Amino acid sequence: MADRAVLEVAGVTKRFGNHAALDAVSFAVHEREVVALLGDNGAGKSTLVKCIAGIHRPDHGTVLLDGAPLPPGTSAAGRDSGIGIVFQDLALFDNMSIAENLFAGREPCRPRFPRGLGIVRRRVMLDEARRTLHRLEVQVPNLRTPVGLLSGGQRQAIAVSRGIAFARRVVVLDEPTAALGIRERTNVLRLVRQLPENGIAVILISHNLEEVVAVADRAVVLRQGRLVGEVPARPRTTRRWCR
Amino acid sequence: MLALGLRLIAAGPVIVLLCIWLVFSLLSPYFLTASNLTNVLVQSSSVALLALGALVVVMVGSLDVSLGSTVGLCTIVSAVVFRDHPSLAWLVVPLLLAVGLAMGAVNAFCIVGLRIGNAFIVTLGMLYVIQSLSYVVSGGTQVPNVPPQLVALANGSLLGVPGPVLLVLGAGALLWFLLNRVAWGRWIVAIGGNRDAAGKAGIPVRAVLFSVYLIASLFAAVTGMLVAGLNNSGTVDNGTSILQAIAAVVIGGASLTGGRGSTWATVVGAVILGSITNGLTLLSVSTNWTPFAIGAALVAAVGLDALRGTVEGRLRVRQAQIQAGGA
Repeated sequence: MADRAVLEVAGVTKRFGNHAALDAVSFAVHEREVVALLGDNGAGKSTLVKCIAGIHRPDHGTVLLDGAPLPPGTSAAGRDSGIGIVFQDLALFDNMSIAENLFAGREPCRPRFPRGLGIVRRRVMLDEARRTLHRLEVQVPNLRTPVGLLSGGQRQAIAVSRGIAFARRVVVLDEPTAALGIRERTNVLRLVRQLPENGIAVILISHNLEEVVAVADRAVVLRQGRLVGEVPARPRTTRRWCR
Repeated sequence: MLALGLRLIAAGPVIVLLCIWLVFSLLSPYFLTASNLTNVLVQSSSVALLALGALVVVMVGSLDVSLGSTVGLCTIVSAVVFRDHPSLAWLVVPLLLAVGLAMGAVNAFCIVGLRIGNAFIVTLGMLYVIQSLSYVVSGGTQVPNVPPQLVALANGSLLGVPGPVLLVLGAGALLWFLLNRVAWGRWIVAIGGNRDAAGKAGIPVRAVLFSVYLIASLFAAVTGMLVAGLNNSGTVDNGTSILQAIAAVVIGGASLTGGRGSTWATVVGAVILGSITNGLTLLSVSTNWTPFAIGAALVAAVGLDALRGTVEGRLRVRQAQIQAGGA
């Protein structure tokens, strides 16, 4: 593990009314490191993911990528900087095809007009989607199939693929194996293990301690919005996480 | 076979239109004539244009019921400007576009900028506000005569194709291109499918929503030009035109919850409504029954759409299974 921090969460506080969903949370993720983010329901994990993604603007503190603060309040900026997120609710568009879901918000366009005004290069999008899914060993019937018609496992695979396919620096996975069968879960964990080999840091949120032990280097524990511990992810330490 | 089934489902509104034409042509010898069908298309053109505007808003899962009032205001502004300043008739087209943009901007500002509750309620309020402005500007009466270019647009033709039909085809092609080929249009579809996911995907949701109300109001302004030219007068909209436009959108298979809709099917939906009205008139059915027939068509369309959704879902799943098996 290299020492250089890729992503730093520095004193992030996020309040919703009187409730502090996050209270001065600080931790760093280093290059090629897999960090598990653990905590009960309501501990603030998903809020932290949204702060990293740029969806929530922290009330205090900053999120830094390679030492530079990410502009808050816009998920496009984080994504363009190389952060890939797999959201717990998958954030898919049931009415759109697999290829369109993979490229939603970053469609290959021609000519290079200001963002959104170009013409979508559908052929390029389909070819790249095919290559991406092939590389990630994700099997789907037809790239033009609306995502709403896919099975739960296929939908999850599309969401995970979208999150990690274009990430260059950090991937955040919020419960990426929830509702998956054993074979699909194994496949997702295989993808997670491959990410550090490609120089990408990973933040993994999971309730499944077995899979955390299987892939994570370190675990960060949140409780009621506060960071209450950081421990190596080894089998003998799991009892400490629960405490 | 499955692909054929899916194609037939996609062509549902066209099949319904052909059935309606078949029934009316059996009941009246005058229905299926070139001059009458041209009449149907011209009579449907204003509803079709307004429906295209309404479709953009419906695509994001919202409704703008003020569009009809914007049409009325635009007809009145064109007539009043021509009456009071005939020398400024050349200014009418950009002026009406500006009026449309202004109404759309107010809607967008209230709904997207200030986040004042429900879009339906905001635009319902705007329906009354714009209607009131129309009464104020017109003095509460119909204003005769509009600039000659609007009359020429509505009554002229090119290569035998009436101007209103050309206008609908042009506007339809433009909207089809935006919604299907331009990234911004795909974002409109994405927001209608899952607004929350659109934000997470980095799509500028608020900017896209803002633009949706502007685009819809621009379509209403162009509809206003057409209606002014067809009637050669400015008239306050009584609020029914937008209901017909939304009916055309629904008959065209769009989902009012957003994310699904077709430009050409919406135009066909408007022609279905025009055909029903025209056919009943030819059969000398009392005009009191026309709204009944349109209402029945709308309810039938919703029922057929539910059936279509179920059948299409099954066909697509089957198609996916076959392709997965072949892979």
